[in-house]
Amino acid sequence: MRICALVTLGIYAGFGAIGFATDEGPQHLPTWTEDGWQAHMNAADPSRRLGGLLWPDGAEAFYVLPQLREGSSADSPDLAQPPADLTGFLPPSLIRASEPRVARMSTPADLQDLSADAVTAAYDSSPDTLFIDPTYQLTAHERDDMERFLSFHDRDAMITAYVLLIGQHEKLPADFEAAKLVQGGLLKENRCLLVVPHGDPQRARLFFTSNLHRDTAPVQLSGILADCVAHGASASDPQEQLHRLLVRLSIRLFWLENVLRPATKLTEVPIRSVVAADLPKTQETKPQVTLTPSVMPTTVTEVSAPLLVSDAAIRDTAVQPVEWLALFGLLTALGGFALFRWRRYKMRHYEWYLPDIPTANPRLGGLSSGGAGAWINFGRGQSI
Amino acid sequence: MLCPKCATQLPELTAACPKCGFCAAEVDNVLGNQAATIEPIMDVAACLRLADRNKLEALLDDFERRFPQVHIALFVGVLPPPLTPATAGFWLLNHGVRIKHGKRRDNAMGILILIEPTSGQAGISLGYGLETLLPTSSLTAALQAATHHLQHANFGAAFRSIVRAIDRLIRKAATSRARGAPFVPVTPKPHHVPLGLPQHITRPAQLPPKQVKEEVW
Repeated sequence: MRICALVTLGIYAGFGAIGFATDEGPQHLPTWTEDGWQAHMNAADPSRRLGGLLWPDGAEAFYVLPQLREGSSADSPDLAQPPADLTGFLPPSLIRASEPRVARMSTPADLQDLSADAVTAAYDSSPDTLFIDPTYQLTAHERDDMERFLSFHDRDAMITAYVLLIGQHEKLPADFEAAKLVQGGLLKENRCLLVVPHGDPQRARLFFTSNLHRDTAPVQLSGILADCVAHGASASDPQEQLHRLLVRLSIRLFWLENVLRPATKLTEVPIRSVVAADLPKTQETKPQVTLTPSVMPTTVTEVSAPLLVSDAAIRDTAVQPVEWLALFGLLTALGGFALFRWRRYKMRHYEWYLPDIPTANPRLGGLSSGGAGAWINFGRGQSI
Repeated sequence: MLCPKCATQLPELTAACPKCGFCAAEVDNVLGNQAATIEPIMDVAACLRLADRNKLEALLDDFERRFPQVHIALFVGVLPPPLTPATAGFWLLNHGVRIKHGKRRDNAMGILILIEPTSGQAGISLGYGLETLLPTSSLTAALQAATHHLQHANFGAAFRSIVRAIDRLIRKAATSRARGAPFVPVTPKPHHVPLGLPQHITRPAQLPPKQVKEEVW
């Protein structure tokens, strides 16, 4: 009892001490407060205030480590003097960013038709090829970059963009047919084709399929091309021009998609190989509008008539083997069910009559049976 | 034809087995010469469960409704030592009386399925009218298909398996028609013409002569 009383008194004494210390209030806590003299000194010398009385007297408020002011050492390059050649480290567009922007204009007089071999190569390109460079204006690495960018755009966008790159002094021939491009890949809906000369984005042409052209104002489509050309022309490097032009085109196509979505039901057409049946159809119906860049204004979109393909044609070619398999399974199930019902009905409502054949002769003295039949010994599993 | 006792090949119109001397009188000496009642299910050994019995009754009713000319009976019992399922079936079909709808059925169109659980034997006995339609090989196959159930003493399932097999065999040989349709004499199907008939029975003219091994006993 005595020990318990002592423990209880000790506990009460501890709580009492805590309560006494708490009752003293926060004004006795050791926090820093600015008195009037310090406020006066800080107002007179702002650098002193920035230091918060942390720097020693006479030290600079903005203290910079001394080694950064000194010259370059073996481990740290001199940042003040950029290296002479960064071509192996940075893309040319960034290196030449400081150069004055000069948009090169080509003279229409020195334009030549795209060669027949190049046109044929563009026609025969794979339908999966989004970036067509029949005259090899770009290196393989640059071409892959463009193709990868367009594929990335096509993965998320409803409108697929094809780009045909020609030379700076080349133009499309008069008999060029966009419908034959990439083996008729443009014959589907929601496609657009950008024809751009390498290093001369002002002569770019943008073509849309009829469903997009029908539901969009021509001013809006021409605005897309004008915007893309303006972004492309803002760079002097041909590669950078093309890159900026494609990036802007991708953005504007997404905008166009958002504008068209409520009005036109954009059907997501998967990238597949063009059905062979489409090609003869294209060849039979000659295009009514030939794409002649020399007679077209700069920012006019154009649609050729063969690009209009009915939805039924696409739907017919979209029948997958899975659908045939499902149909076959459904018919098999229905046939099996019908056969089961017919068998069940027959087993309940039909009778079987044996043929009228003579019976066997009596034997072994039996009147009705002569001991015919079969038996087995299932204990040994053998027939007797 | 084979002797039910020694399985010896029997000549036609024989009164007793030339090897063992088996005849109807020999079985009569053991079981008597009196008539016996044949029930659809004769569970003398009490081996069938009630559920199996109910299922078998429904199955036999359907069977006899589909085949009005044929009647079938099931027998499970322990036979005295001199008897086998073959000899017991022989005696039952010759001395048994099957009454249905107040009329006595002809045992020549009867089928008797027997199981002897003690000795582990099972057999099917036929009347004279079904010998030519149900060959021994098919009946043996039907019995062997039920061997699994027999070895596990599941006699209800074994009976059902055997009855369904016989059902299929008879349906192949018979001709179907809707119930209530006017009766038309049934001509034998070409492939179920009785094989191995005695020489005095002529074969139909439209069938080519065949040399087929006789499979009945």
